[in-house]
Amino acid sequence: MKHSHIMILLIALSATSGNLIAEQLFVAPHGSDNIPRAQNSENSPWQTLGRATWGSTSPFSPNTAEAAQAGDVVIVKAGVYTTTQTLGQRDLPTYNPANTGTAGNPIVFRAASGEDVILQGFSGTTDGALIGANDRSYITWDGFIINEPAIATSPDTGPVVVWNSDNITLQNLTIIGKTAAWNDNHNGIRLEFATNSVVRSNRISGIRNAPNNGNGAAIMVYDSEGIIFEYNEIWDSGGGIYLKGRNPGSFTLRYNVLHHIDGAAITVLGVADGGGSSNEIYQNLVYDSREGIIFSSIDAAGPADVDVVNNTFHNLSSAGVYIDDDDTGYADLVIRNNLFTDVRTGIQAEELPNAAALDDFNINNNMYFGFNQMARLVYSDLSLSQWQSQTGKDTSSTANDPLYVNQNQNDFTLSAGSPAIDEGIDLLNLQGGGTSNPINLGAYINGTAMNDIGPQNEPVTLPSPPTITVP
Amino acid sequence: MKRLNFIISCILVVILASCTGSTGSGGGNNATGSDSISWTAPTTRIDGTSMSSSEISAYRVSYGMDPSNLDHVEDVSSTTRSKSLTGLTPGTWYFWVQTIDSQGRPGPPSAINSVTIR
Repeated sequence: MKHSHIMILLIALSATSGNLIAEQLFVAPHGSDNIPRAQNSENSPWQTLGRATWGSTSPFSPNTAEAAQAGDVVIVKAGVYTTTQTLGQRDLPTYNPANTGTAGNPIVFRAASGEDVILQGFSGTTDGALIGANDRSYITWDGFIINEPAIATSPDTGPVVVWNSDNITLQNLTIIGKTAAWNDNHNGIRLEFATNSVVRSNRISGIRNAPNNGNGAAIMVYDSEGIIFEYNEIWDSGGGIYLKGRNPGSFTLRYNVLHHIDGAAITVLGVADGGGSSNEIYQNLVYDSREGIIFSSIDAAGPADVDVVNNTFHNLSSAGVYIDDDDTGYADLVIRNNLFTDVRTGIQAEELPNAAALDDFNINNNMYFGFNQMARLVYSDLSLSQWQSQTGKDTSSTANDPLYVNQNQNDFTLSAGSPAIDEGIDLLNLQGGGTSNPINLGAYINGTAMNDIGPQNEPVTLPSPPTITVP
Repeated sequence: MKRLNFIISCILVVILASCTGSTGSGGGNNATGSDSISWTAPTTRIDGTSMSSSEISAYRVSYGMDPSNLDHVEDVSSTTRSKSLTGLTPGTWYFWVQTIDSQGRPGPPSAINSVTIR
């Protein structure tokens, strides 16, 4: 290529990028917020994360020219960052960026590689929402430790909030939760009116509300569309992932591991059909919890067009799948290729008026083992054969031991000779061989790929804080 | 009778010494200018794995009058479960405690507590 052509190309690229001068900006505890953006460097970092997000020392007087801008990557060095600022709204994170990113030029806030960056509020003033995005696009939060015990929270929010925003990425976060005092929602990550975003490889624990019901869910979703939840680990919480209020849908939940959940690991409530794009829940692992997945309908908005395929559910004190009584909005719901082992009840549909109420469910090619009762329908216990004959469901399903490699060590991969191998039909074409090809049952479709599920990063192993006691 | 008076006097001294200075969350009651805090040891790391007491090397107590900048920092031994804070000027003091593991890594702070010195 001639030099003149290269120059023309560079000029064209500059024009299309809006003359952005993307920077790598730094924040460190020993820094100074008086440093102008143009002079920020690794050797001259800012002191607070607020200086990077707001461009000033107060969220009430943002300075967009001095804040992180589209294309910038903000590297935050190890330390404990405490803010006493609050914006007083459950939907407005304290660290809401002053600027928005653009396609190809996101604003990235990232914990320095291998360093422990702890974010917290001040329990006397902050009101829960700490990081995330409100009315922003293309923002990434990556690698932070969120210490909620040092954040005062309030109903219907959580330390990570995305509101009316698109193309937001929340990844590699460690969220240490706490128990809130109320019955309303209390969440680790909360999405409302969010679109085309990703929640990936986060570890969330300790999220509950005082009555300890599903409203204390690690991830809560309202009115959102086109969200991918993948590789997350959620444990020790009131609920796992709750797709709750009137979501347009088009959700993907995959490769997540949820365990030690007091209630349902996954709840599907207000989820519409995604406008032609299915909601897909596949290759998730759930163990040592109450319910695996709950379907519930509050109106005609759903749940609709949801495929629950190739998941592993183990040791559940209630049901693998709980189908609530009101089927007003149920439509096109698929439950296939799943493993249900050591569950009290495989399919719990006792509140339904009759078998016809299951018409919207396509249930088949599952394997059930170690249950008290395979199913309940209209308040009656059913064996697998009774369930098959009365409902016409699960006609190709079996009640066999799938022979996990080592369930006592939470290794739910399949042993050689497992009867679950190639017993399913690859409905979602997860293996790329077509939708009629055979596939293993359960989450582990590739045999021994245990690490394909759950966070794709190393866990943070810092010691937990002590508990202050009043003398 | 003298012995009884002596015992009553001692009790009064203790009561007065512990009731004259501070109010607040998580703090004890002590004379103006000092306070004491105590804590219980954690048994896990933040990834949920268990942690024995032998894996704790110390506790770090941070305190100050600006909750976003606790500028007094003191480490105490792993066998210690309380700390007296002395020389506190009148006003509201904030504090937290961190666990330091045997690799020297401090964990996330406890909830931020406060005490008012009068």
